[in-house]
Amino acid sequence: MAPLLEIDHLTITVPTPGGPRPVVRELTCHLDAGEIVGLVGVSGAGKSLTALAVTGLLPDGVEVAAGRVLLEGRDLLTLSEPEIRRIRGRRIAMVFQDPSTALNPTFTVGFQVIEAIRTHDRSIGRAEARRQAVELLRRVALPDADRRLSSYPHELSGGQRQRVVLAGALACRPDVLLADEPTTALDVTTQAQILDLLESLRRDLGLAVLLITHDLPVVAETCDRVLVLEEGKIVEEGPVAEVFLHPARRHTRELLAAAAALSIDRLPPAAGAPEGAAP
Amino acid sequence: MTGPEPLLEARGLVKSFPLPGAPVLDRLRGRTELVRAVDGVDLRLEAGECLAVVGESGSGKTTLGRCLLRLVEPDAGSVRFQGEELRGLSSSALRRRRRRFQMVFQDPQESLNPRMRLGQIIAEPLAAHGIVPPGDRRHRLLELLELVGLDADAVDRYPHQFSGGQRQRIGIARALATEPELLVADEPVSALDLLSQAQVIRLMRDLQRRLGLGVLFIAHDLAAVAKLADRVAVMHRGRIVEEAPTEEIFVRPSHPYTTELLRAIPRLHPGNRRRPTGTGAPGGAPGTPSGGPERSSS
Repeated sequence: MAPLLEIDHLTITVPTPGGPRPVVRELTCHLDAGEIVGLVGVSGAGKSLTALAVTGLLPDGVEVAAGRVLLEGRDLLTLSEPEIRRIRGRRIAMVFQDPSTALNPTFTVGFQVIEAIRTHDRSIGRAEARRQAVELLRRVALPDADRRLSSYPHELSGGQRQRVVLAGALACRPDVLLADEPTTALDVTTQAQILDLLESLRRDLGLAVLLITHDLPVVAETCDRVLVLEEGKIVEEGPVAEVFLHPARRHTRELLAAAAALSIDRLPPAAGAPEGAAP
Repeated sequence: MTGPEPLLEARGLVKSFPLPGAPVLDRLRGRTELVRAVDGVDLRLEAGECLAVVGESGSGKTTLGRCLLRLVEPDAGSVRFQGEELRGLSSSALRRRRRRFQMVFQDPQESLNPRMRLGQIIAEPLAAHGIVPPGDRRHRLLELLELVGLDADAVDRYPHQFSGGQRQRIGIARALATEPELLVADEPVSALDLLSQAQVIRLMRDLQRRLGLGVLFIAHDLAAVAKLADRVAVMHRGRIVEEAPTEEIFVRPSHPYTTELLRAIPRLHPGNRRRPTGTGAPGGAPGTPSGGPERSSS
């Protein structure tokens, strides 16, 4: 069976005075239904651009130079703008680090979630969309979902805002969620709740999640597989336990050593990096 | 060595702010509800010691740090630095003391003047406090750069020419320029990338030990302070709910809020997950979470 989402030798270039420079290089990976896969690397490694390329949202000048992005075998990169717009949201949703920028401050939470539901299916009436919005907000465990419909984003905490963003992203029952540092701006207790939520969405809805992060403990907690990105290339991939406990590549060991210096638990010596291991 | 006086001691520190969103007129008439950002904090830091103040957003930890250095004026309470009460000092007297306690900020991008070369940035406090004769400043500058692991040729560059981690090194070098006895670092690594975070934490630990600095490390992340702090104070809603030696906090947290914080921290060892994973359990998964964690999963 073909994977749900497949990225095949994707190369992305950014413009420079000396001509286009590749920042993602022949990246190949896949995502199956019900799977949470971590894409890790330092800033600038190409994590976010990869996700933006999948949804056709690359900034001006940044281009896919080669490769394919297949959703159930269909190449998204060859689609017209209206076609890719239908895929975006309906099949593939994205959430970003900062939930406040993803919400419009001048509209209520309810309006925005209802809008997300109706944008993709105009046949849904207002009352029905409202009912679905409450259901979605309950699904993402927003306290007082009913009453929150009339709240504005600034009246919510960061964690609540991220729940609303997730509700909006889930409005059209996507198959794939691309989550770019979804918990980085949140407190640790809120982060744990959002990660639990991702886990339950995968379990109950079979959602496939690509979790983009530099936070290795978050990957250890949440992901089935991990892809390690270095300068636009996947240098190592595999089941999380295998990669974290028996890293094969220098860069993976370097990242793990840095994470270990900032972590409250340890990895066995086999995973330890030669340099700078913390006492 | 200093005498029996602690380096820094706060007692009954209080700072309130008007609740955001209150009507302006009410605020002007002083008729608004107040939130106590810092609500009766006692705290003690010995010379050469690193104390971490950990709390989530809105816990009051940043306000506390600012009150301690009188960057924000507390409403009540006492702050003593080496036995001397800082509250009530005139601004000029306070300014003279400032060379002995310095601050490192979260975002080095925001706290460095983009139009000044690195040399000027670091030399500015030297000139302001008049502590190094002009002829010796260059020498001191290079010494400071070496201390934080920056090359001498960095002197002529501008802040934007450095990475985030390097900029934080610059922020630390600037803070150390006046040879302070106390450094208050407010989230010094949370804006940095993973590799830089680990490096800056290591640098701060080395400097703290080498220079015998007292460090007050303010952070939202218990994990980040684990390797640096001698003691940890957990802050919640303006109060310190628990304070103990670092190991103690991790092994035997006594306050339910600390326990909750600890439980929420993701573990690096895949065998220590807080919850079992549903699908896709990988082949060679470790059977037991016994890979040397300080705490087992709950």
